[in-house]
Amino acid sequence: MNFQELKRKLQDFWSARGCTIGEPYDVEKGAGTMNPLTFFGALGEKSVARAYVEPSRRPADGRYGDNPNRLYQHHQFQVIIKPSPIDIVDTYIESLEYIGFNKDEHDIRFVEDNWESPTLGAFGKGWEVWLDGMEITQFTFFQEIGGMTCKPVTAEITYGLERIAMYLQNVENVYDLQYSDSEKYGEIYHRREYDHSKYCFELCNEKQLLQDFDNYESESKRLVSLGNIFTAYDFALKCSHTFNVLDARGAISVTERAHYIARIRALMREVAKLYLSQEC
Amino acid sequence: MSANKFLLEIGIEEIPAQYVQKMAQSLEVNIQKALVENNIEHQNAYVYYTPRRLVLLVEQMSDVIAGTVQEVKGPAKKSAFDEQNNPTRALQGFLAGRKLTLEDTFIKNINGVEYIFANQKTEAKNTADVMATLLPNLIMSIYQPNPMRWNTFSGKFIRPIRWILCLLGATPVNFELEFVKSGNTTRGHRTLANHEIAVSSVDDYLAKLPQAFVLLNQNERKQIILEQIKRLEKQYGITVPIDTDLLDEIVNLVEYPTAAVGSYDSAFLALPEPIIITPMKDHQRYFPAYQNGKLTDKFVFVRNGNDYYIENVIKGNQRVLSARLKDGEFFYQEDLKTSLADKAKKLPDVVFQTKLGSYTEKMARVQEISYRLNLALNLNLSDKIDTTIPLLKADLVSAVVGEFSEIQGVMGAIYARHDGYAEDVCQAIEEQYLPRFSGDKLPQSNLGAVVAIADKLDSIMGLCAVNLKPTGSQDPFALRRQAIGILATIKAHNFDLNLSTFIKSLAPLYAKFYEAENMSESDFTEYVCNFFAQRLSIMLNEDMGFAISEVISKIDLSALNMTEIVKKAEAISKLNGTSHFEEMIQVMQRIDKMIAGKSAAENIVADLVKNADEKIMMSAFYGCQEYAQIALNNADYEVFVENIYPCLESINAFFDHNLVMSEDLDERANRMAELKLISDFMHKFVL
Repeated sequence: MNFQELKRKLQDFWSARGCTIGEPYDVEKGAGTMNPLTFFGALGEKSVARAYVEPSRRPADGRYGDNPNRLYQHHQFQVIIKPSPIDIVDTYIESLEYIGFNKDEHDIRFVEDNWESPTLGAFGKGWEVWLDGMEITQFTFFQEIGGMTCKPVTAEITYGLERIAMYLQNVENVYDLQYSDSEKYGEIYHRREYDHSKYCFELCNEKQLLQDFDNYESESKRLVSLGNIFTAYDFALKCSHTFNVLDARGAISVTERAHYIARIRALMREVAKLYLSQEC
Repeated sequence: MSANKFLLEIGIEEIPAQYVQKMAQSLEVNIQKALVENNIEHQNAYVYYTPRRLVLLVEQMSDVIAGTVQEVKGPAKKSAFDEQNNPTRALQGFLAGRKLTLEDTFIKNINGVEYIFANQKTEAKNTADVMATLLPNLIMSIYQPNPMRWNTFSGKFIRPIRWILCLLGATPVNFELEFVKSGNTTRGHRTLANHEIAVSSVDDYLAKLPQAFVLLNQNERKQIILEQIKRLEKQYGITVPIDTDLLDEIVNLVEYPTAAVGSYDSAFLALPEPIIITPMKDHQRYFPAYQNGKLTDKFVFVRNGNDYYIENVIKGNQRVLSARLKDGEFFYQEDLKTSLADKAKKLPDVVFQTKLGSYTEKMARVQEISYRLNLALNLNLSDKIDTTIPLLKADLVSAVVGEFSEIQGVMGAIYARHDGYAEDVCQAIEEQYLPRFSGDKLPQSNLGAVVAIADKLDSIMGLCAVNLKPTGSQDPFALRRQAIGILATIKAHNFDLNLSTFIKSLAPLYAKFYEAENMSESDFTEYVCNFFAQRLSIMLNEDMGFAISEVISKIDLSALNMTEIVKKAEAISKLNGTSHFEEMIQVMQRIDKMIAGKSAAENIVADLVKNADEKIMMSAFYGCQEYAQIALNNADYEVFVENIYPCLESINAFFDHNLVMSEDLDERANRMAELKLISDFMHKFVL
């Protein structure tokens, strides 16, 4: 099964179970949770069921295209359902069968992992799911997001697509994955991985980025004061990504680090509060 | 009335392995308590647990709770009826409160006073009905360290409750939680038999579970894993040391264990062992394998399932380990690009604790403490301390420790060796965190012991100075474990250290911290010394087995001189019940009773001693004291008692034949001073 078929199968599976199939969001971000479909979906009382692919950028994980397992940008397949269905774990296992893992031919484990995102002001309880010892999914019941209590609780399932595809295609190196029948993963992404790694670790303009961070932060605050939720959120996301680049570059000391994280969290919190006050 | 088997199974989506056992035990305690309180006759309760279920099984539980008749006492007869012989409000209240009528009452005479009594009856009850009302609360009050909410529910539990099975005999016990109604079905193994299975009785349940790939009994799962590993050891010619904590964790991660062997590229064996073993054990829950005492390119893992397509599972696990080892290799190579001394240059940026500052600031204090320890213990290590301290925490900024924090110190030593430092320096870096847990090994070298004590002592004093003291069950910095680590290290090295004086001498290093918290120097040092004294008492009792009242309470712990205190405890344990020692204690008590609250002369004046018995007493004591003092200096307490013993008879004789409280006030004060001298001396050994 090539990479794009894997994405399509997961979309088919969750679409058949009532999920809206969303699109990746066009602002850089570190995780599918940051897509507004999830961040705002998890807030408030309205029921939601959504699934989408999210390319997620982790500057610190960049390896110049040299490491067979670590990437600056990888793809997550994200599912959120609120309220979390009673049989959500069973449904998840069905999804693994649907993409080609016969459950009795593997060792599927749910190992405690309580997810936390200090920048999003979010935490949840759940597991990392192991398939034959490999972590393939993060499974979380949101308890809080944007500093707000989640009630009802959203279940979030985040599949690591590259890892699953490598397992299914039996390749040892992510760049050897067959993306489609005509192209390999490496043909599309290898040079991109190199350039972004080089940028984050060596070429980025620290001074400029620190200035950008301040600008994005004040813009987010200004937009919150004007009651414009989704643009304020975009600028908070930009802060988050800018911080991640600076962090990878080693431009932020340990003491400052906590301070920057707190600044981003404060933005997310204001946006979440604004959203809840209007319940869009 | 008949006895039946009782079964409660709480089906839960995978419970974190670290909490499974504690939760099951808490369930057992809750239910046992409720059974007793509600007079439910029962025998032999057992608790079982797996990652997906907490189970309580009672072999015999009466299906009926017998009715009771209890005699209850009411008001005195004279206040129960008025002059017209009508019930007073007191009697009416008594009857109404207990739903009794006047016909139920009778009179009983107690010590000459007549009282109203009544027979209070309770109806027999159906056990299943009573259990149904009790269980929701019992389940929700299970100890849960880190619970969660799900769906739309308000209640919390460790992970979502999926089903509840409850039977008394063949009868379902019906109750309802916010999340789920109890029923008569269970489920099998998550992937091999995840369907509802109807259960008609407890025996039926116990028979059906193994068919559904669930081995309920945790001890059975443990035994099976051990047997499987033994078989694999033979088959592959390997040795697999069993880490019992890891084994216990794995037992709580699987419902149907199957152990198998995987392997990895032997080129990785060139890496330092901790980099190979840490991801194996801590991250993947594998047992490393050895051949001829050396790590080999194999590992044992335990699948949650049977051996169907186990080759898939082996291959998957090998792939994961290989990726982790590649990461470890990458980090290690990165770390080798800079020296440990270079890494140490980043420590000013690493915060130890916000108020206490960076690791550089911490290490300045640790260096000072190390110097003073070196001086107090006369170890001649100051040059070594100068080399070691700046490197001690440098591995905190290494990539390997960033990934595997549990091998801090160990990696520092490896990098120090790589940089060519003397072996004792490397060893001290490795030993600084010892003991890491109760029962762990202790620093072997003097240098290692000094830096380990200094580092821990700084953490304890520093964190207490900024008011981050441990409270109740909260001890986030593990200060209690660190205090015990310090005491155990002092003991193992036989260091002659008055820790209490030493702590007081260090107080100025922390003045700016405790002053900012409005603590005085004496409050601060008193707190720290008491903290140590409490740990010491617990350690003497729990780790070393000394009895509290017979031994520990007889020792003055306040000086915190570990070596001396342990010797005293050992001596008292031996001496308890021996005649000379008991006699000494009796004499001490006799003296203490006499001098309590009396004023004694400041100095003993020999001319005031006129009484012959008194003269003999004092000369006998002075004669004994000389030798007993030598025994004290040698901390040889059995000899101390033998050396004191000869004067006891003359002390008793003085007491027996004289009025100690002389009418002559000068003589009296002089005698009190003499007795105080004797008593104080003996108290240098026992309280």
